[in-house]
Amino acid sequence: MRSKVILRVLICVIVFVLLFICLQRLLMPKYTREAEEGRLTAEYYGSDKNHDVLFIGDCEVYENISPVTLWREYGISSYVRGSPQQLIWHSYYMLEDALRYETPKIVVFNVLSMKYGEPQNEAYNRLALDGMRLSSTKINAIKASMKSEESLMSYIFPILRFHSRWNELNSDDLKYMFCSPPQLSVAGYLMRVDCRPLKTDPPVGHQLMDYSFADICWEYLEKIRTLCEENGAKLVLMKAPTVAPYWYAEWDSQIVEYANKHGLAYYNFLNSVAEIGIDYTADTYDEGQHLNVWGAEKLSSFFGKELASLGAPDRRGEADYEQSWAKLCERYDEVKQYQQDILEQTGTITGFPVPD
Amino acid sequence: MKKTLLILLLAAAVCLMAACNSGENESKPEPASTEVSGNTAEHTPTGYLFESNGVTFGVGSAAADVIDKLGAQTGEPYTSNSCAFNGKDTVYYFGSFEVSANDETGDFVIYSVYLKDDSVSTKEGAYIGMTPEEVKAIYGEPAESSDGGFSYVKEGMKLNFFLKDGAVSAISYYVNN
Repeated sequence: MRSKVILRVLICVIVFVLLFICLQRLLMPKYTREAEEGRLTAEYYGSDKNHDVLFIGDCEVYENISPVTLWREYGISSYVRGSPQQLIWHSYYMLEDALRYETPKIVVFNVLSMKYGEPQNEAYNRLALDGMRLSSTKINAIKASMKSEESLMSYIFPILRFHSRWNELNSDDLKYMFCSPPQLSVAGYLMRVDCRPLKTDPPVGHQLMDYSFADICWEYLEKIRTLCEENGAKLVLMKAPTVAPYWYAEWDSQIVEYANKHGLAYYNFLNSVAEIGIDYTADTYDEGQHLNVWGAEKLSSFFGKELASLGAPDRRGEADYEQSWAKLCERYDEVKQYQQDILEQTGTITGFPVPD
Repeated sequence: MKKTLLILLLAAAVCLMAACNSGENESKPEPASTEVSGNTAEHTPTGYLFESNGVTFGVGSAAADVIDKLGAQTGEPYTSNSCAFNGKDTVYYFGSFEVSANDETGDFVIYSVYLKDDSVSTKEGAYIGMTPEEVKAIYGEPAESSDGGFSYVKEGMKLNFFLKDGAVSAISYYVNN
């Protein structure tokens, strides 16, 4: 009799848990029709963890660095762990999370996020963190990122946050309830083939009262540096060659000073635009804010040489690497062709279209 | 058995509804506005105002009410998109000053006016090149002050005076976040 009761309770608990999981999976945003970048964090887990170079940062890495170009031209195996408006504490935990799976030889951090000393927007926290696998790293990332009105529980059980989506559900919510949407990125890179040229001089930043970076940003930069050191990875700093948001000379000199103090390589590609060959009338899809694929390939081609000189190995000819990169190169070419076809047929690209 | 299952299902529904109620006032995680409308009626400027070409405006003014009346622009407006979402931020150039507007609330609303040279001045008469003392004689003691400048806070906006070499080098009207 007693065992029957226990069995009943057990079945009921299982049903409850299953129901909870199903509802949660149904209501979670799938990021297929808007804010597609919300899929980036989770996509990392499906990649082969054989990366010698790991990029962390915001759109200045995931839209400007093409790992396929790095592979094709230098045999460098790399991945971009980026997310929109990735703040420096997001970057730190993205790195810590990646180190649970692999140990890159070089970690490249894009320094733009040094300008943000506090969480900006819950939406960007969600895009960065909801796709992260549950671990102590994720919990710490949530705690570091949350705005005062957010709750830790709503990140662990996202249904608490997204329950109100029931009246916004669309066919993709059902379709991708238990499987992933098509791969959006190629090794973390998001491609755009179209061009919207910069029509005027690059915008100049307005004067600021204070150009110092917030203490918390320095704290996390130091944590990133220490984490790299502890894991035998070389930290490299970069600033992508994009014209907005404006990168002040006063900010740059602080990064230069930090890099010099710790013997780090720092590449401010805004100073090498001509050398790289970037033409803002052709190599950008939004007037210099992000590079299109042609600009990203130029930048990656230029940066690859530097990364190789910093010790990123050439893996061409190694069977495992050849195999995984052959697939990625194929996907890259497929996405490029797909977008070019769309552009030819419709004259415009919206979001980051990829074939199924 | 069926009864227990029903109770548990009801409990699940209640939990979910409770969560729904507690979250009714939460904003959606997506701050996106999908359209930029020309609705201007709800947007009135607050705090200190700026005047140019006979148009008085400031932080909170609808861009649609102002931009076309300010005369010829000296350069192409520069629009940057927000990453992942549909928000847009546009800077309009008028030589001696720049006006920035974004569509975070759905309509394009001015959040910054930035004065760049001494051919323009604030409505109260402050201009670039003045000493801090001269500005303070007009506006009184500032609410905030640092080596880089000082600010006056009024009705959700800030009037900022930036300093270089002991004199005002730029002035901005900015939304007070």
